Amino acid sequence: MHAWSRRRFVAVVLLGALTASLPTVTPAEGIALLRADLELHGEIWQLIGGFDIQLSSTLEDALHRGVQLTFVQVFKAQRPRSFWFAEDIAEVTRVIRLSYNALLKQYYATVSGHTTTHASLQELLEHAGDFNDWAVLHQSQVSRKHTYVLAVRMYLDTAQLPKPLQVNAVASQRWQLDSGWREWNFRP
Amino acid sequence: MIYLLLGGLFVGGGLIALLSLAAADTALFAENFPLLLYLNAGAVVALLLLISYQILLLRRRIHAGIFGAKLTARLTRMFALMALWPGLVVYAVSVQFVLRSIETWFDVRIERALEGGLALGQSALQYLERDLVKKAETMAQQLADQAIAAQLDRLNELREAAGIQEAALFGTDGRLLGFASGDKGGLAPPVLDQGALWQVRMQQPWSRVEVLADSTGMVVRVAVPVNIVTMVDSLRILQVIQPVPLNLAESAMQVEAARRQYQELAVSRVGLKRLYGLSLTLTLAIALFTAIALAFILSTRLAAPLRALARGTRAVARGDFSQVQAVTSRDELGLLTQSFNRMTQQLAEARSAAEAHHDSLLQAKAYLEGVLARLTTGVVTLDHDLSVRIVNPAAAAILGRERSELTGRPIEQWGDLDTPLNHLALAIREHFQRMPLSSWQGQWEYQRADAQRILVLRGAPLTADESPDYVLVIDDVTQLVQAQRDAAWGEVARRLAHEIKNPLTPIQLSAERLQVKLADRLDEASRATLVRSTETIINQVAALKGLVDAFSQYAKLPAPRIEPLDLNALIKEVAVLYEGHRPVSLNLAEGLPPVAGDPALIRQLLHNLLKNADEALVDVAEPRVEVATRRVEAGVEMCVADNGPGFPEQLFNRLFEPYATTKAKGTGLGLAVVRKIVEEHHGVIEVRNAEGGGARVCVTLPLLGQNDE
Repeated sequence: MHAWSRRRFVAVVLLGALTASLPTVTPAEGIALLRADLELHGEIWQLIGGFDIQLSSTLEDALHRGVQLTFVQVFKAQRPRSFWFAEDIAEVTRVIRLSYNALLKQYYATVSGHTTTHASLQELLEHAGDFNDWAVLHQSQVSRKHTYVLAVRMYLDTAQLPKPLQVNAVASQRWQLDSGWREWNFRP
Repeated sequence: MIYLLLGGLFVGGGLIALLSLAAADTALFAENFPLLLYLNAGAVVALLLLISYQILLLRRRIHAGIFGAKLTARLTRMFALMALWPGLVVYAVSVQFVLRSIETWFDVRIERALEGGLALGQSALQYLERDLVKKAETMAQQLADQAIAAQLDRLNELREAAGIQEAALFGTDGRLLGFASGDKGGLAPPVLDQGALWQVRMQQPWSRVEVLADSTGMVVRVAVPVNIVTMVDSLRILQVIQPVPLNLAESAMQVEAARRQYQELAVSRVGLKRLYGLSLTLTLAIALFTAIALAFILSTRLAAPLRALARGTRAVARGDFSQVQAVTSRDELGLLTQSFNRMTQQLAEARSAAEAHHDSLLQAKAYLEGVLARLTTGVVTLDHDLSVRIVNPAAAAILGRERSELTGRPIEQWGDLDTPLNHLALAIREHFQRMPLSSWQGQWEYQRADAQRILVLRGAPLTADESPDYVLVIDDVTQLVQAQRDAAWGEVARRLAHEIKNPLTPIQLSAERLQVKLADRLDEASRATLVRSTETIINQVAALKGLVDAFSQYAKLPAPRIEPLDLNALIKEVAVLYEGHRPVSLNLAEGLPPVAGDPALIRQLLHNLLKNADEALVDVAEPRVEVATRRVEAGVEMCVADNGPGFPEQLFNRLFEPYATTKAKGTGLGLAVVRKIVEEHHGVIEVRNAEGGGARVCVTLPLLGQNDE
């Protein structure tokens, strides 16, 4: 031990830190993109399609016990440039809150302040995953001359969970629900 | 490192505070909770690294043998243990307590009660729902009996009859045809959604209990088909809405809320345990590791003065008293350092004082030795058991021995057995033993190798105690005694000359007058007798005169007039006078420097010696006299040797005293005069018998200027 030089000590520590920082998390498979595309309605580009959400048993149980699940949908548009970083055109976020009323055996989904009531979990998840003609771009923001890279992502926002569950979320894979970025090219 | 640690402590404390705040329900931290956890974990890891580094450092120090490192390690261990034990106890108790209290929140009975309450609410609501469905169906039948145009007019009437708050009539496509409400100025009824429309078209009644948007109550919504047969429509849809009684709604909602909270807690049970456990663990880890790191630093600081002291001690051991340790603290360690400094200073002072003392002692000793060495009196000190400690050079010279032969041994071991020195030593011992506490004095004759000496010995104790050391003082009084004798003889000679010489001339004159006056008057025989007698008187008087002259010469020898003297020339001059009588063979060294002498006195000295030799050779068959000179260290030596009988042994002690003579006619003054002249010239005279017979007298005269040194 005493023969260890200071340099070697530092090297070992750095190696340990590097190993610890390597990503060991594999993307959760609870949210998959079914379809995503833009449709022009008047001057507004609307997002159509949606995600397929499959809750793990843990999350389903939590929902049925009354825990509110908060999902976040993010839309991002970028224009790639050959000589520089891509130009950010737009980034739009909306929050979807799912809850359950055990008394009435009803599911609620609140999207952008509008609450809908659903009788079954399947119905709820279909509604929550759908883009529902989400207005994401104005016509003026994009030009026909360029090709754009669009990306959508939907994930469970564990930071909005009650804190004790956040600890679980930090420690457990079952609480991780993330589609990851799904990209496609788009030319108006 | 201390600042690093203090920074770490600060950050750690802040993180723990944030963690505890976050554990309470605060919205701000809720979002950043995982980040906070990671930060805390990071702080723990950083502290762990710091401690590892410190341990590594300490081990290397111990291995390198740096003084104080082991003490640091021990102190660190003690401090760490002191922090670890209570920390672990508090941690264990806290974790146990928290986990137990979390468990106590959950009770099957409460859960069952909540589920029961919920079921009760549900059944109550279902009852209301079914009741309203029946009412709606009744209303729908009554409406179906009416004409299509009259349906809208009858709607309010039927609503009031059924006691329903609101009724609305929709077309098959969900289009609102008309409605009646108990509220004055009520809003338009909520539109049926697709699911409901589809269900009603299938002739199924649709019902739902809904919570009002502001959560103040609940309503039951029911939609039933109104079957009509017209050209346009085959079906109309009746929707009735009835509020749930307020107290029922509230109670049901409360039960639902309580049940939701309970279930949420139940879901969070593991999470809560983890949260508190994690918070406590992180807190413990940060506190503990900080304490350990702090312990390390404190131990190092505690041991630092000891290290300085050790450095100082080593320096002192090397004899370097100049290293003064800086006093850094006011505690006992600082005091210790201060005391050490004082001690070092005192040591330095003591050493310099001792050195000064030693120097002064050396000086005193040198002074004493100088004094003793230059004393002509011999001084000997003895221990109480009479072993000799110090013999000064004069004593050694007087006794004719080397100092090393005399010192460091008992006095009775001076000289071999039966030597004069041994006899003297035994006599001294006897005196000291007889009078151990008082001083004594005595005179001894001591036969030194070269000459007989007369010594006066004085012994005295050095101190007044019971067993004192002794000092023995030896004076060589030979010269003094000799001088006294010489003076006595000079006085005798002078008196003799005076007393005897005066009557001699009248005696001689009287005898001559007797001869002159009586010679003519006496006969031949008588005259011959007279002449013979008077001649005898005259001759004897002349001899007496000579004797008296010799004595007066001895007594009144003039003071020498010292001048440069060529000894060889003088010898040759004198030797010529003896050529006719008895030749003298000369053996003179060439190139001798002039000696300091009075020519007249030296001439007389030479005459006396030659006359002595001449007289000694009267009865010798082949008489031979030789005069030799040579250069010696003390000056020039002149030896007169003969082959006569030599000096008798018994006379050697008194050779130079007047009247010491072997000859019938000699006055015995010859050698006495010689010695007196030699002494006047500060020379040395040595008399001995030659080995082949005959006497040999050697006189060494100093060179001119030699005595001035």
